[in-house]
Amino acid sequence: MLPEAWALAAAALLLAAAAVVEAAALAAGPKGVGRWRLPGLALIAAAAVALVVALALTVAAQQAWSPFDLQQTAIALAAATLVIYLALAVGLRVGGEGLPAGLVSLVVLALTLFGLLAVGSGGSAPDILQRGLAVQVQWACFVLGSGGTVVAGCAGLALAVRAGLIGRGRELAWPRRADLHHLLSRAEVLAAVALAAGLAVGTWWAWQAAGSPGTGDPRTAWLAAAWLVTLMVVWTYRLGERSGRWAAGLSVVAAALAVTGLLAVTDLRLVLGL
Amino acid sequence: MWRFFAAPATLLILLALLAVALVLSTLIPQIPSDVSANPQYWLALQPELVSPTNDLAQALGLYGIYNAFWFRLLLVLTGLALFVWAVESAELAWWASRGRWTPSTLALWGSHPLRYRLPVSRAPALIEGQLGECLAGCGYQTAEVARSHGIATTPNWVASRSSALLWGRPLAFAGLLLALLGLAVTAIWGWQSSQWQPAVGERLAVGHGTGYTIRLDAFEPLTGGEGQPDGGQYQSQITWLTGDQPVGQDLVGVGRPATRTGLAARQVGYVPDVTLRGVDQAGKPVLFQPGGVTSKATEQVNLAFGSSETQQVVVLPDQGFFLLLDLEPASGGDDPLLRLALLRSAEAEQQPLAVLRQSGAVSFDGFSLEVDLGYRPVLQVDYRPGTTLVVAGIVLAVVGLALGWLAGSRLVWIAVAPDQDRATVYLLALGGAGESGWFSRLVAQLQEELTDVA
Repeated sequence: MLPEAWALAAAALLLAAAAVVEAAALAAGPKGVGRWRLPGLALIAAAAVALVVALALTVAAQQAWSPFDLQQTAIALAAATLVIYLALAVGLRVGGEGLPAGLVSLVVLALTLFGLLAVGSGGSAPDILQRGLAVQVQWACFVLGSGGTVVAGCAGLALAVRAGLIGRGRELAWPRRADLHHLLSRAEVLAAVALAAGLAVGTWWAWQAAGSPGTGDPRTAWLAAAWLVTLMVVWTYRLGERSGRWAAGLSVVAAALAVTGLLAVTDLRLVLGL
Repeated sequence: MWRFFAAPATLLILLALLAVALVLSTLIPQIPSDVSANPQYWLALQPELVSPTNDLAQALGLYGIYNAFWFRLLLVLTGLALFVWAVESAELAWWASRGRWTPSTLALWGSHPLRYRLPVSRAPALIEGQLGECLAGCGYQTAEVARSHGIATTPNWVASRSSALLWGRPLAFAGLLLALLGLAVTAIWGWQSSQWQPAVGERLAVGHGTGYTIRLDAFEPLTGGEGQPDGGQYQSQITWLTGDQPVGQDLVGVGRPATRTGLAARQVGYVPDVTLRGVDQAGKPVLFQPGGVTSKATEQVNLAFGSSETQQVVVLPDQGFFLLLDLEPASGGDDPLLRLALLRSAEAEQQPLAVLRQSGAVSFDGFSLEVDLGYRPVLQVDYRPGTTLVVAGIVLAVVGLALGWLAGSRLVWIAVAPDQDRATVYLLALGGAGESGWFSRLVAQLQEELTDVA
């Protein structure tokens, strides 16, 4: 097994453990949740380190970071999601431990397994137009923004799960609604800024290189759609009291668009025979 | 009309429709710009969904969504909504920065502000001071709302924190509006020449009333080995002419267009180029006739292989046979591969002559041919007057959104209404980025403080 595969496998195990710990924290109820917080965060942080190492090893093996290498993109997205979650939940004390942490762990675990088992390294070699620094910056912004949408989507999913299950059966350690909204809004605005920055750089480069606003890459169109939906989430505050449900639902849609746009558009077109 | 565009649902629905259109444009094949002159042939090759027999797809313009009437209408409506939102949020930021509020400015807080009703068991006059102290303790600045003349109203205040950052909102809306305007300006006044594959010395009249002609002076690979660009950097040297008079020289590289009075000449690629010349058994130059019998026969022929071309045929009119040139494009760092074959008029089968990766000589039946493998640039001239607006608009939107992310501004409208010997405090909050946690915390703190007073 290649060194990067070992690092990915380690990350997958750590994420599975983190998901179990967060589930235990949820089941422990409001009084017992405290003792699970630190182990859960430690496991997520360790998984983030393992993913960054895996990304570095993959980049070293390919001798370049390429947004056209599906494995590198999947690992980068997984690492970005965890880093953003940790930065918001721990660094900025936005909140969102417990259920959203468990959901983030599960989604990132799926991305890690996708990078480990479903796709190989390599991918199409970028042409001269795709090798410029601007393209690297554009896709770094896109990965960061997509990570933000995934964190926000997990917060939105947590809100939906909480709304659907709270008060039923035994008492669980549900996170506070305000904390989930806080995490959702912070992650979504970060995603909106990063995706917009990626679109600005990409538009500028496409105009410089090809004289058109886009390079014809379908992934960019999906990420632009994800950006529009993140803007919708950001501006749902004007809906006042009704904004919460809309924000939660739209954040999940934005995350789905971003992940599909980054990792699955090409295959989706093949499946549809296009 | 203003209310329609100011309604939150309007902008959200327009953004949702735009997102759907963007996704659809990747799932339905879009007509390429280089076949726009004859789209019917291209359409005939497409799946049933966009074939000419599908009337609905034709009517909706699904094969060219970005040029469809409904997509452009969507952009216009979104632009109008962004304009209304930019004006309203700028007005709100203006009032907040001045700190002078009137009852009419409450309308700027939207139709669904976050609200809370806090009953307090004391007279209004007794709680006003405590309310001010509590808000100041939380870092808020308070400004009394001017009362209308002749109308007895209850005391109103607006409490604000980081209100200067409210300018981030109009900045974001204005940025997006600017980007849309840039796209519109480019679509209306912009143009683009078809792609040009010149040999050195060839000229292109730019047209469109510019009076300029471009001449290719040189094309050189910068990092490729053995004279092949090999996917590396490459550049062209061009001369701008008005009539026959040179007015300037420029280097054009990938991502480095040459610009002149708003025009841009861009290097969008390169194509392989094959030059043939030779002599027959008697040492006389061979005549070549490229592209069929209608063209003029010459002693040297120059053939450019377009991006979709892999085969060319050259007639040797005096000899009565054809040369077939098959080019396998460069891949994986390898140079392109040229296969030369002879096709005699009377025979159906090809006679392979040579396989070349570099320039070389080919001999057969007493003929000696020199084959030069080289490259030509693919250049494009365009006029895009709205480019700067689009990029500047998105950058402004990024800055506006980032301001809101770094520190959300907070505005609370507070009214104290007498209720017999008690009072009711009404709180309306301007929400920010879907976040209402701060408002809940403020309400909880006020409730605690005012209850203590009571």
